[in-house]
Amino acid sequence: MKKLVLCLFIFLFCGIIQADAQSKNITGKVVASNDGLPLPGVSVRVKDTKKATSTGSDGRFTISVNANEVLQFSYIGFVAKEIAVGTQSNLNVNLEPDSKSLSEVTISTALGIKRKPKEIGYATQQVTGKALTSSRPTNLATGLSGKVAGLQINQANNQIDAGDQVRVVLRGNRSFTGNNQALLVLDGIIVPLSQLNSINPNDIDNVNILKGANAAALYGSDASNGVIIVSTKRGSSDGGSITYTNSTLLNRLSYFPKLQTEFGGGTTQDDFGFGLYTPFENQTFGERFDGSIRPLGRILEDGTYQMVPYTYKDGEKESFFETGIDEQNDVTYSGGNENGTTYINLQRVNSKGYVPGDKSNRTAIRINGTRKLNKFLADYSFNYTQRNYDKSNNQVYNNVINTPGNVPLTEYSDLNSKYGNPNDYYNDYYNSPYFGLQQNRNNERRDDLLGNVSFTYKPVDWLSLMARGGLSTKNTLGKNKNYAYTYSDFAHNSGKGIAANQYTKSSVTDYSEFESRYTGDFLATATKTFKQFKFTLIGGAQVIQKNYKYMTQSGNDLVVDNLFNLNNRSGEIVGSENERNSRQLGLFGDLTATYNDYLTIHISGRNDWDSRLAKSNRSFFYPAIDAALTLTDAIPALKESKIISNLKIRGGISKVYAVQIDPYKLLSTTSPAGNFPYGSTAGYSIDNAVYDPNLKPEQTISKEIGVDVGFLNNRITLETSAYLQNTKDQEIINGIDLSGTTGYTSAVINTGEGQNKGIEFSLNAAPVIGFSNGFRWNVGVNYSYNTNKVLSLYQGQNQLGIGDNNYIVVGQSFPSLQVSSYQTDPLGRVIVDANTGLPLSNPINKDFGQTNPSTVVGFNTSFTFKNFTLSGVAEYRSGNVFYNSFASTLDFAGISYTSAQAGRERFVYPNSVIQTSPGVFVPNTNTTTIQGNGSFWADGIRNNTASNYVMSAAFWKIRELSLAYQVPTQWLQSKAKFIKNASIALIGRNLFMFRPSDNIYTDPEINVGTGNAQGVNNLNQTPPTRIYGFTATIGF
Amino acid sequence: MKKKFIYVFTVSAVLMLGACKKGFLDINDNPNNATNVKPSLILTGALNNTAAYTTGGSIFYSFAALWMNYWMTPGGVSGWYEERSYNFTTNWSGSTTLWGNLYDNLNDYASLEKQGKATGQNFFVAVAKTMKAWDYQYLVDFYGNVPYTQASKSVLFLNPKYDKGQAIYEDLAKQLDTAANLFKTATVSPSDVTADIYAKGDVKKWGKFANTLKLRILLRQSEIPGREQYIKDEIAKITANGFGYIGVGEGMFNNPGYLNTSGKQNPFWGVYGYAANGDKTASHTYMLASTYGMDFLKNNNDPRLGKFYSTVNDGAGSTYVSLVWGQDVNFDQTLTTVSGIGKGVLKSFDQSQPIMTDFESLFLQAEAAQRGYLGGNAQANYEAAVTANFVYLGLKDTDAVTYLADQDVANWSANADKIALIIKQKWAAMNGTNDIEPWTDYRRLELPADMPISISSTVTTKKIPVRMLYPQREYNTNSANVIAEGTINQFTSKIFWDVK
Repeated sequence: MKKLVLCLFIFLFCGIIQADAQSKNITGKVVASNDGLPLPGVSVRVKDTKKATSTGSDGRFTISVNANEVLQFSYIGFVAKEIAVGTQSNLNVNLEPDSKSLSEVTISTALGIKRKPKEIGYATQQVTGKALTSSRPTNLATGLSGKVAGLQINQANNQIDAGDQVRVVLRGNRSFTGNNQALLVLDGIIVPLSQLNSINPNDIDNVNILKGANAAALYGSDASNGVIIVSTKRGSSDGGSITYTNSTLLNRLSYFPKLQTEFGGGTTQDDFGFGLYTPFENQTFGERFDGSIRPLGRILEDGTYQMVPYTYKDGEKESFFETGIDEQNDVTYSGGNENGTTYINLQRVNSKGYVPGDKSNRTAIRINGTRKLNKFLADYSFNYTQRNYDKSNNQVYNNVINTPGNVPLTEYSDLNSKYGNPNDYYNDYYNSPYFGLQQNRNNERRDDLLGNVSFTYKPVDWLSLMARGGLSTKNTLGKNKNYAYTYSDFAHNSGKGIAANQYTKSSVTDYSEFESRYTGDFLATATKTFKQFKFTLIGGAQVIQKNYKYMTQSGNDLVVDNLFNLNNRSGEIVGSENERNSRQLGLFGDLTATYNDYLTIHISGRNDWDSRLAKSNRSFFYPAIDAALTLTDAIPALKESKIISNLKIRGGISKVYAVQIDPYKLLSTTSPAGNFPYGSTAGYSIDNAVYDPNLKPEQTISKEIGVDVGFLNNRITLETSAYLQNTKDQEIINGIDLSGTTGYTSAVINTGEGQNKGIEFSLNAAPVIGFSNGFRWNVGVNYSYNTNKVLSLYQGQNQLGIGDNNYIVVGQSFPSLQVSSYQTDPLGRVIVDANTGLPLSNPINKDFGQTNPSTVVGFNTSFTFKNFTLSGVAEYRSGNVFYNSFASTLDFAGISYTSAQAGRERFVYPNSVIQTSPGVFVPNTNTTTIQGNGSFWADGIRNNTASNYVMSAAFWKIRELSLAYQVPTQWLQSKAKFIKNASIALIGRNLFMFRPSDNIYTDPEINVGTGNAQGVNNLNQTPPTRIYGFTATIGF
Repeated sequence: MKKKFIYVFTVSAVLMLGACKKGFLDINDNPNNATNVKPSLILTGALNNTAAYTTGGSIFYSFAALWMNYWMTPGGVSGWYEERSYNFTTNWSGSTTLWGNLYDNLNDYASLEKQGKATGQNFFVAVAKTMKAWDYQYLVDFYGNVPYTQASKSVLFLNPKYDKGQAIYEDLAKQLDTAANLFKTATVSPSDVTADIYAKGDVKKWGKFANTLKLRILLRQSEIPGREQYIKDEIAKITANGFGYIGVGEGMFNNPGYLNTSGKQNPFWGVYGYAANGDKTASHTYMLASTYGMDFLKNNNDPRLGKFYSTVNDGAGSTYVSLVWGQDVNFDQTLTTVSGIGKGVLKSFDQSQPIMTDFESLFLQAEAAQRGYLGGNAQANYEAAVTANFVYLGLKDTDAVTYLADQDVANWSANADKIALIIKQKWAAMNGTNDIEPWTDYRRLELPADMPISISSTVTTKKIPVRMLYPQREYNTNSANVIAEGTINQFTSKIFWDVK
């Protein structure tokens, strides 16, 4: 931070000294001729020189120029203009909107083929690098949230290495259990979705989202879930520039579950059922707080006690979590000329987690470039990223929750302090969270290398041949360390539960993971025009090889304490190894025929061969067709319209086959049974998964239609889509849950058929309001509604489980949440036992509905005035439920808000009935629960009944808020000439969340994982955070 | 130019397809796991798993040791709520563990039987049938009606139907006859001898084990009215095969070569004994002596006291302290001040794990003889059983002779109700080697009749449960079939042989 300020000053100072006064400065303003609004970002260059600038947000510019020179103004969507300078010193320039403007914009579609929007018969949505990084996300996935209709991104966790724990789904779930996550394509090469975390958001030129399967038949199976095409920046071809960016973001706990503040530590009760205070108890079923000074913990070796007020200490658990810091520095060089470009980015991120002691760093370098040589064009990009993590893998949240409200938790942060040291820590049963963090640690280093090189040869004008090789590798090396500890004799002999074993030896686990993907593409593109017809024919072939290997070795009871080397173990090394290799081949053809520039028909077909399936099923062919018609060009009457500037209708249908399974999922396997081998004695057991050797690929047929409308010269645009997708022969990754009585617990089989449908709207107004003084207000709204349904299941089954309480149920949307509940009468009232007043548990699961939101609304807006831009993104999701499994621990610990609602006394279970005879239910008005204290809240009937923790997952979130200031270009031109641009922005992410009042637990986005099973959290996910900070950029 | 393009394209396409033909895509052989192993490896793995899942596993002690008043556990709000209150759900480990483990184990035996039949190796077939009977008996004893005819059939029956407990029992008896007859003629190839970690290929030992298991299955049905003739007919078939029953010193044990490494110790030792580094395990420290169980030894001058229980840590080495089952425990009532599990059952990390002990077999024979099902002397079998238990615990047989002669609770002629005597002494003997059998005898006969109920305040039904609930996973994955079994109540939904 200090460094940044220093740099800024030095640069400003140099700039002032070097400001050159000899050439003539011309200033001016560029506005659009149709509405008179200023145009920001218009390229202003002096013809035949390298001198160039661009207009500021108010449309103004300043450039030094000689009187005999000519200025060129160009801007996408407007007719370029040249103006001779002459004697003028102030220029007002009007640019005419270009009615043909849309035909100039191209979109990167499948395999990096650039096509005009008019020619695309399926839904796409583009996010520019600028829109993406306006709030400086440290990873790409979070930067996309709320900005694309139909795109749903879940940040499942927010610990220090959680960047990988992102789920990215376009248009909901098609596959019951297979992959539904979008395909990630980086500079034309398919890379694992986990790479989203290692792409530097600042390197991104634009992201283009192809939403449906229609869009992507050319990528093969993997693309049936839609594609995210990320193009990184190539060097600009107008000279060189260097940009330095610093962003510093703070990460603070935002939401903590609502807790009770009335009762202190204890687990036993008196004869009347009132809680008794136990000074060394983790559960909070003790006496009511009374403000007296009481001992906490057992008596210490010196005969004293820690004495604390018996009262709720506000904010102690929240304060356990610190302020995390991400400091990111980027230096970017961009340069080139008409023959080649170079883009180099260096990045360093230092992070400190909000869990005490967690830290990480990331160092990345990216080199992109292009080189032209006669008829050859070479294009390359390389990216190397190294990440290092030092974090605790202790389940610290559990230790925090198991802390009574009177405990001054944060006073124990020093493990050498009188009360903070593990021997004298007050709690008999749970470790100090600070101690836990120190005892179980993980170090991990990840090295990612992404690269690709392509050569394009254009022997003649109409033909281009391209060969491309791509590589993505990920190497992980890690070590888990469990530290040794010896409790004092006093603690050990005192009966303190956690000190029962006086000497805990250290242990170590080493692991390594390697993942790579090689892709080879060959592509021939021929373009020919015959009168009004334009044809583009593409033929291609693709080879993909994926390799994966994981190895782990553990050693226990290390001889020398805390020397974390396997050679230091006693006993045997325990290790395992897992390897996966697969190959795919594809051949494809793709024909686009355009008539008169307004009607396009596009047909493609592909055949794949996949090593993961048996020979007889390994080859499969799938075709796609789509069409687009631009009515504003086709119908003369519309062409003249002043209001409607663009009207396009489109539609498409495609079939895609996908192989969802990992390699080797055709034959059942055996593994060493239990803990075999015992010395030389081996024993094997059949593994728990059963496979189908004749497994077929999963088939998805997608249909979609859409209308794109542009009003007022495309100032307002509306893109709409509707889609219907049927997926049959559903494949399973980990298998469906089976009854163990079959001999297996999971089955990988073609399971059934599901249907997925929805609509999307994307409305953008740029600007909604604009004034000639430079004020602009832009608004974008993205709305999507998605619903899916299970049509049939294997062997006429009614439902199948896919883990984490998620089920696939015929006739319902998938996956849906089913958990254990209480018995209820036909009116839904809870049935209680007539004697005990306790709710009766019901082993038959209750269905609570879907775990994925059906409605997602993204709202983004920006206000620009002078050099300030205020922008925000909000997102709403609803239609789904989630299960707070961690809240069961809140009840167990007696710390939950709910557990104190009845004052820890016996109570009549709300809205309950008693069954007086079969089928006859009488409202329960006076039978109280036999227990009201911990025996009710912590002992099974309450905390084992999962339905107590299920609720609506709806939320409104303010995803981003940022205020940016752009240093005026004129000012820079006159005062600090060699600084081309400078800006600073204040940023906030996930600042606010609005949720239903019964959700007193956490952010519904938090989830156990990123698989299809959603809507379940546990103690491994720490509470959510909000992020705020600033970013500063200087360009030279 | 177009020709050139077509040429380049075609050549590359042909090259790729060529590569495809030459095995470019044939890389799907599993490098991680064997897809097929010889049956002897499955045999070893399955036998060891049975030991770990049943008599050696915590599920055979975690609740039954408490309900049978051998051990008790401290309370507190959340400790052992289900065990102490008898109130439990379909998610409780008591309901879920055995089910999951045994059906997993049964799949290995089903495979062993299939492979044995295919290759004509009758020894494997007979062992598989015997061990399936072992597993299914416990499934029926825990749950009643369970999937049998459609179980272990992989995806052929994704939702196996439930068979009646009695029908399963009857079929198990037939399967054991077949097994015993196969053992008569089966040969064991020398290379498979070491794979049989129970009996080292001794088919006679296996024959006796199958017969004793069948006797146990038949005796379970003793209280069913009108069942006597069936039992006698079935016993005649046992007698016909000539193997007889497990006798003194002929108990069935498992030992794959237990090591003092985490996870590779004797499973009972690993849970209730000591970690590899010598520390007491958590479960060891939680299990304290129960008053009813200890007093039976203390009050009757029983030398087994110091074998079943440890002394307290008062330096005297002779003080035994117990707690009443279900009482609330003070925080200083731990293993230091109360007795725990003794070294007669916690012998060493590599102690062989009893599957069926000689004393269990002798108690079964004593009861069968007393009921007139078997020829032979009930008293002799009874006294041999008590003696064998003394010997197992590391006492001398002469100690047993004295005990049997001097103590009213053990003396044959001092007791009029011989069945009650046999069952009480069987209860005393089984402590720490198989605590499920006494729970099952209690359900069948309500003996020992004075078995105390937990005095915990959380008890709402003052009765020892008569069964386990079907596991939640069945409601999740095989819901229609398990729901068809109706509402299951652990106090009233009895197993078919539980008619008292």
